[in-house]
Amino acid sequence: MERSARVAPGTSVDGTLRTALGGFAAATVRLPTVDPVTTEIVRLRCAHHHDCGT
Amino acid sequence: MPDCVSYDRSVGSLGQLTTEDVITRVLGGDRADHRSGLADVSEQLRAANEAAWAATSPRLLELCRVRIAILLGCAGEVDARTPGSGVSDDLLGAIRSWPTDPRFDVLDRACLAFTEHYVIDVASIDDDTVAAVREHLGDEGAANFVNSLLVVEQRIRLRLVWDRLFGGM
Repeated sequence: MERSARVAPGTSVDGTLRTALGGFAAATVRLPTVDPVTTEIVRLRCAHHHDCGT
Repeated sequence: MPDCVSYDRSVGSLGQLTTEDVITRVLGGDRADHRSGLADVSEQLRAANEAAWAATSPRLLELCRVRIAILLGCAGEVDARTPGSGVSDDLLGAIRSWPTDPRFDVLDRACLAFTEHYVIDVASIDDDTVAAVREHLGDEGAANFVNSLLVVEQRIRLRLVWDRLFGGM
């Protein structure tokens, strides 16, 4: 489902928070515990659940 | 298949620990083996939590943290208190009645309404619910609030999973 933006174009998240969140996501994906295909399926499922098109 | 990460199965009861201690106990904290990647996850999760509390009003985040913990049934987080949040135990104890209790102001209510919708069905949050938060926090404040909420919610959900996997409930 497509939605219009809820915040103004150019709105940015606090840089430290954005970097830390990205770092957490990247560190999690890098874990060797789960194979890459399963990791990607979970990532896509989470993106769908959060209605995240990026 | 890659080698499996070796979690410490002897973490013991987690029930009485803070979530921060649970994270350290499960992921290993400073003692974690960097080759496993767990230390990176632990460090980034800790950094994200610190950044979340710095980027958003601690009062708002504390109210929303406890509300999330109640909704998800995480007793450890319901009972926990964040130092310096400025929220009294009395107010946190009344959080279920935020829609009618006059001690919760319009900003509290806007953020708590958003939080409840976020936990229950994040993809269906309507424009009005977002607009109410933006009205008080502005665009960047709202963006920071939502990202901070994500961090708080993730930590609580992780704790719930670990409590069930490793004991402590």
